Amino acid sequence: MSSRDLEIKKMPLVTITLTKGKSQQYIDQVSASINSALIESYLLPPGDLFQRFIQLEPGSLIYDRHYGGGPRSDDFMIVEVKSDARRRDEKNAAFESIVEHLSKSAGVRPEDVLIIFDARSTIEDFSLGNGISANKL
Amino acid sequence: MPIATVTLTKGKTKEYLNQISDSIRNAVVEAYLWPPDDLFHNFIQLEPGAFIYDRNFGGGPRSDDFIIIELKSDARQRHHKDDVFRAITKQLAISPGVRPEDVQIILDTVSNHEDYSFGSGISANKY
Repeated sequence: MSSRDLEIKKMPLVTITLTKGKSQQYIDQVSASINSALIESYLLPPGDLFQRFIQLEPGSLIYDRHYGGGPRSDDFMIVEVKSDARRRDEKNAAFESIVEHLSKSAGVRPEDVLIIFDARSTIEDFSLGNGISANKL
Repeated sequence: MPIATVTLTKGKTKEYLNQISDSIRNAVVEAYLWPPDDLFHNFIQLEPGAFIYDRNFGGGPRSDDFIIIELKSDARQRHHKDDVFRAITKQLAISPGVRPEDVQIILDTVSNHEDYSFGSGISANKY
């Protein structure tokens, strides 16, 4: 297996949920920050970018302002990363890296970033296109 | 019991969405051997700037018609997964004419029947 094959097998889908009303520039900065963080800490190649932003009406994103952390502001966001299995130290590194990049490049307060990893997929569960499983690329 | 979530960019006609839904249903009936009326699809239609993806990574070229299909079900063997990838992509190419390069599929096969309730508060494993 070549290093390119290994790289292709890292693909995650990232879903960012936040309250509606942000500028496209802000969305782009959040997008780039998360992608940079995952490249740095989750071993993604730079082109591995699949993100969707779910922008909810203000009354539709309901969360406690202090539970387990906070204080959370109106800029609160949930970042869900779906991928193949990862070790705990990789997850911990990615938590730190995502928050750091978001704070530095998009001005998001670390208290406002909730991250959920769903690392139960196997590569055979993904098809990047053409009806072919990613484990055959 | 499957649930398909389809993410795409806003602006498609209702007819286009219905054709996508029909094609996914046909493919799942064919490859996963589901009954045709086991139909639960939701469409997430995003503003263009809210759907961010690489045009060429691991495939492509991807166009503005790129869609992601997430199919949640009970456990499946690898050959069934390969069949469903092929069938979905083939059906979508026929109707509504989605390019195979524009179809990303993610399977989630870790649920059990006991995790689902079709309604009335009764677990699907009691049917």
